[in-house]
Amino acid sequence: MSLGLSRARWLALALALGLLVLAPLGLKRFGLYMLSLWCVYVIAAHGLNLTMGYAGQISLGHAAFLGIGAYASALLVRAGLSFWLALPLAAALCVVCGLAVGFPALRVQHHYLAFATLGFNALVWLIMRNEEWLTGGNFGIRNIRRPSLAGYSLDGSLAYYYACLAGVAVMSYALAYLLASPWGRAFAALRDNPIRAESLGIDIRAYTLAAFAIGALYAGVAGAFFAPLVGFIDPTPFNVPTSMSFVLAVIVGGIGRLVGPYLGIAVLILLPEWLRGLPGEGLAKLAQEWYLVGFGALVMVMMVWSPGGLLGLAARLRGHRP
Amino acid sequence: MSALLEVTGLSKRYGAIEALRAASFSVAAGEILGIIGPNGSGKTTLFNCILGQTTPSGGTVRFRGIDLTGASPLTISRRGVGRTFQSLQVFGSLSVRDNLIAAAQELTGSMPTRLFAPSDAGMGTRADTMIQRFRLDAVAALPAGRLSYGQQKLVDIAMAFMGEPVLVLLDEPAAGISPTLVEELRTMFEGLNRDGGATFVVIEHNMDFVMRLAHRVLVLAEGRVLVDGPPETVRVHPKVMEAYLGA
Amino acid sequence: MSDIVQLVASGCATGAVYALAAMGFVLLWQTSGTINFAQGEFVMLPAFAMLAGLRAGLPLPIAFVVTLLAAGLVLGAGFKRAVVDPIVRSGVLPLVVATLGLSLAVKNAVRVGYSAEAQPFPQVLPGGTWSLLGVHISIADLGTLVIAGALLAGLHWFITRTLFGRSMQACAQNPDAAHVLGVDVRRMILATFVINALLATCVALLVTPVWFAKFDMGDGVGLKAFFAAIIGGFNQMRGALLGGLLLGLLENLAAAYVSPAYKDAVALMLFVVVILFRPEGLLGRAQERTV
Repeated sequence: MSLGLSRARWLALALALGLLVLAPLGLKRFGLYMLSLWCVYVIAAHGLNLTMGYAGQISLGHAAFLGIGAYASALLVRAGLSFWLALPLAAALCVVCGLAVGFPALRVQHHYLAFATLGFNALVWLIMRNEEWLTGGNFGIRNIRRPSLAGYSLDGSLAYYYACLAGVAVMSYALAYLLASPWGRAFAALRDNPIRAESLGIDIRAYTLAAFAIGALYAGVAGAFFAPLVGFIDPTPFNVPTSMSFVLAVIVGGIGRLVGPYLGIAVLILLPEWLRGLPGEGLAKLAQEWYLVGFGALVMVMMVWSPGGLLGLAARLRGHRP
Repeated sequence: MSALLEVTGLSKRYGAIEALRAASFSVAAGEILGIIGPNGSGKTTLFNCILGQTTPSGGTVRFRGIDLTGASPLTISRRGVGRTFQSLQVFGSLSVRDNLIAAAQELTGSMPTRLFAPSDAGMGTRADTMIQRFRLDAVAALPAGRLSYGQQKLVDIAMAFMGEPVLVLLDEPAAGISPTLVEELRTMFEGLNRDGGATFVVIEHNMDFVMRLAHRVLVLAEGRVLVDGPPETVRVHPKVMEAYLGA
Repeated sequence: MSDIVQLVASGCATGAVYALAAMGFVLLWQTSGTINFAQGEFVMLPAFAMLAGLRAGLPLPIAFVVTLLAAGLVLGAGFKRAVVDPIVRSGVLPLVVATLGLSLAVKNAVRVGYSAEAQPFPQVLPGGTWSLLGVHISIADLGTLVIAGALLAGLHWFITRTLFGRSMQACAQNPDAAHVLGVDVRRMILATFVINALLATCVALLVTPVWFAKFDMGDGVGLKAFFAAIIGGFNQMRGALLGGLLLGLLENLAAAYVSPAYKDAVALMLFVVVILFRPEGLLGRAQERTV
């Protein structure tokens, strides 16, 4: 099925992909690690973008699904399963959890999902920390090895980077396909005008639930790639503040736009690293320490002047109304 | 032959305010019923009760003999009832063509099958026909939010017809558009009624429009049905004058 | 027997504090539709402000009063004028996001600018226990209960007995009708923001001696405030009261008899039960769907 992209867009896409494939030439191990992390987080952010930008629901529990994906796949691999089987299973588990959270919350009121996800994240984090027999508690799971594909080991930084890049490419394509299908149209209708949508036979509850569950799936996939990338997992990154950072990253990038997550995650994790490399130790240190403060402040300013995020700003500068 | 739509004793109160008082009327298949009445007479409330947007405090709504009182908008639309709203309700970010397809895609198949269906969910041809009928060819690919008020109005109305509804409820379709467009609209409606056999119920303030379009006219005042009859009768009925000009 | 009384007293004390935080949250939500995800930080900031006052040599009561005034000004009026007013025009979602950004910015500003470590805070209430008929209750718990209870009673009196308070309630239930009846809706909304800031400061005074001042102390309070409000019935101010008390009580009992490690999950459990069986909250009124 055609994705409805113009010739110019395909060209830009090919260019971006090309750059990403060639990027390792100028990067050392740490740079590759950061870029791989960017790929992984973008997958998660794509899922959140679907939930927020299309179903219009704020999810404050995205990090929980990331964690479930990470722990589930790590544990399954440790139990002897191949990574490539553990990945879809972990993702499926996230979908089930997403449905379990979303279904009761959506019966009530539209914004109750935000609170439900908040509580869900807190609960999941508690389970990760307390159930040592399963998760290793605060110590977590160590020595997670990277998988191999068709005999080739993906252990090296470069190899695993290309694996992550392939992952984000596949997931991005799947999302584009979804949005070009009738589901995508229903999602957009749901976002633009839920009352009209309902009166036209569009089941807004079912589609909102679907968007939320798919969002969870994406976070699960991201989690599965995350664990071998970092090499160990503990509860620390999978908490509410991380969920909030994801929300803000998606917003900053441009909510509801397919390109948004790439920008948003770049601002969230690549920009501070780049700032750290700035000349002048004092300035670099200052930038790094105060980065999150600046990020939070940026979000607030953005909500006043450009609720459409960076992409909305770009559109405004080009002369369109955001 | 039993009526297509039967409203019996429909009431709605909001606290101490009675928006509808035991309103009763019926609509025969293929008919065009006009509903007029001064502001606040309960016209939109009537629509909301029939279409499931609000639950009535009393009375029944029967469509094709089935009791649909208090059913959800989803159920009602799937049974073949379309509507437009008083304020424009289009999907601003979708193109005109996508708006039309969205208006019909959920009425066939199921959610899972729709995921793997072709992009236009099989509604492409129907949408194109509607675009031609409503003369929206020039703007078909533009996002609906960028159209002029009159054009958005046409999209809105076209959307109500995309589901090939048996009954269409139109809330002030002629409001806020130029007289030429109003006349075009009237012709379009007559055509749709004649060719497609769609039954219309139209709320309007534009007397000329309603009187020339409708087969029968209902006058609502203070939540009650005042008069129910052919346009010529209603036009000169003393009670109607009273309702509009005040006793 | 003595244990249970101690637990109940302790639970009610915590619950009363949750109720205070939830009350402010509900006020904001009800009157202006503002969902403030930085509510926890509205408790954290006054805690650090008082700390700064103490470090500067002010006695605690003075530091408290000064912080109250500053909070009312900055977290109340300032927050409304600078953050809420410009953004609320764009809808609810941007405002929620802005409060998330505020929460992130403020938390990290304190963490980096002041310290990431927990800072000790002087005791406000005397230590020791009070014994009666073989039952021991900690004086601090009693004191917290009395103070929070007094504040809640005072707030309740203000809302139901004074003209200002009743006008505020009218605004909360139906701003358009209130406006038509001559109520200065904008002033009412400003009042709710100021009251929220003051309540949060009181919460800070009550919890910081126990939890110590830390940049992320707002996380726990915020979460509990949200859930207490929903459990009790967010469209009723009494709901915040009931929700808070119930939450504090059940948490304490669950921690003692079920599992201390999952104490914080009680709020979520209650929330799930409520939305499944009584979505409008324990004291809430079912809301009709509006077109």
